Amino acid sequence: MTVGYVVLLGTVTVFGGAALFAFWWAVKTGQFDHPDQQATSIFGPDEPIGMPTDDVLYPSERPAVRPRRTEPLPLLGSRFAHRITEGDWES
Amino acid sequence: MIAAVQSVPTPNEVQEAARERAAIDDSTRIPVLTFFAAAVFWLLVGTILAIIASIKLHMPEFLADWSWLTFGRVRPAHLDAVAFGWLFNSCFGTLVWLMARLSRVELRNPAMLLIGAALWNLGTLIGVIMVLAGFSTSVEWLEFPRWVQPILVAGYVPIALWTMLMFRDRREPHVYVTQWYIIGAIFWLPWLYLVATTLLFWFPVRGVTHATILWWFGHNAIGLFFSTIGIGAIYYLIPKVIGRPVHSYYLGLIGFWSFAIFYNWAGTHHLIGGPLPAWLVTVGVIGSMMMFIPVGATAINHHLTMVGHFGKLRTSPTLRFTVFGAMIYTASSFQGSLESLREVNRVTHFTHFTVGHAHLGLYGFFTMVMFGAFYYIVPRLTGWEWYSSRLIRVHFWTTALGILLMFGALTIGGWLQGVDLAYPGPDGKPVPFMEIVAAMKKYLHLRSISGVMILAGHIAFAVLFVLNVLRYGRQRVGPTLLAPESAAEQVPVAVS
Repeated sequence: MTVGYVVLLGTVTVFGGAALFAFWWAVKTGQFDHPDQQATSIFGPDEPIGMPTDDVLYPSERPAVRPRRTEPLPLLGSRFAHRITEGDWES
Repeated sequence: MIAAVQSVPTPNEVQEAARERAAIDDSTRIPVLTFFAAAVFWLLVGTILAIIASIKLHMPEFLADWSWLTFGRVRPAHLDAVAFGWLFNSCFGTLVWLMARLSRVELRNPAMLLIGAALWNLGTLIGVIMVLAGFSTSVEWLEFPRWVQPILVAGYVPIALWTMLMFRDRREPHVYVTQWYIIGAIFWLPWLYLVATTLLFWFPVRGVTHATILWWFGHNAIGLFFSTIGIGAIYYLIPKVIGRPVHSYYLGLIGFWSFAIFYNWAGTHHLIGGPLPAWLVTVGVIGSMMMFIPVGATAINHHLTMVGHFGKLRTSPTLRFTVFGAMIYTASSFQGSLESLREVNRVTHFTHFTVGHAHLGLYGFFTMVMFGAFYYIVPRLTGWEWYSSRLIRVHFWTTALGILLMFGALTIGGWLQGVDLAYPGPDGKPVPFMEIVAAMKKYLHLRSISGVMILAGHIAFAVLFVLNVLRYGRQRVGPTLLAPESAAEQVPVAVS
């Protein structure tokens, strides 16, 4: 059982200490401050809030007739927003 | 990047952000697709093994003359192929991509990750073959022979190390909640695996301690790695797909830290009724009930984030799979907590009920979220759109209905089985065991049917993945993440 105690106590010390250190570091560096603002960190200038990024999959569920356009589409996925035409989705 | 979204960005800022995102995706392309390709391969292998095992439960003579495919070998081989092959590989690919994206840093020396992927999958391949050949350790979740374990560890080290190096070099100062989950998973897995393998195989403990450590590992490997990556992926995918920040970041952080505190205690509820000290089992029960806090926080957060955007489930495959997985996460977690109560466990222990719960969690929740992650990540790496929306629909409905059918059959059948096993029949006498076995056959038939449905979905998924990697079908229109046309014209295409 000596090895067992060494393994258990050793790993608890190392990993438990790492968890405590992570929490202390997070508090110290302000990771828990201004949470509403930090929730926006996954967005950016090219994918701003309000722009879905995966919403144009099923052509059959879109209106049957759409105007051909080349300018950016508001609130459409950035992946295709700049150049969607009718023909793009016919397979 | 926080500051950038508070004001209207200039064209140059948009261009720079798009270029950065494209470069990050480009740097992760080969290793992430390698992990994903291996995951898809093992998903098919594991599913076929699952169906063989399932059929044997109601048709014991099926493939009975081939020792490699007897139930005692096929069933653990299924578990290991799915766990070490599908679950881990999909986790590795997803966490590497997410960490690169969230850290806003390119992946350096991706060859190291390829070495990690090669070693991990070599270990998995050898392990599954050895289990089928009859060299299983018979320790659940750790069936691979002892000498395979160092190969897996050698494969894991570069994956974990490179992920943490990306975190160290991050350009985004804020640690998003998804990164907390990833970092937690990266640290928790080696803790679990090293302690379990050391004390179960290299310096084995005996008796009750053996079982305690095994289920501390078995339960936590699911929750502290797979669930962790799954929840982290949900926190990224849902807001990104619908273009809306998570409803409450407070709840997200509360969910993570309470998850980290409570989950680790729950493993001993697997040993209710066993010869453990009562207090040790009670600790597991309490830990399980405390999980209502993180699960409730996460569930409320995901739901309120989605409010007003449920219509997008019709159009986005990523969202459909991910939200389905998120809902099942809540359901399976609440079920798991209730299942840990002694009164409930008295009926459900050693029955198909537990099997149904395990599949609900690892498939209905985690695997469906990973499917969602694939649908989001792969086109951004290959520069190619998915070949067929019909096949994606087939994939979703066969797997979603398949897992619900499996869960329903095993839950109902398992509960009836448990009642018959634990309590006397109407005549006051114990129900004959073979009557209980025979009564289970219809539920086991339904389980096999659900397995075939799920296999059909997996084949559709594998076809889609292969066609996408081979760039068969439609090319993506423009770079992965460019929004305004003016920027799109100037930024080089990362992959095409």
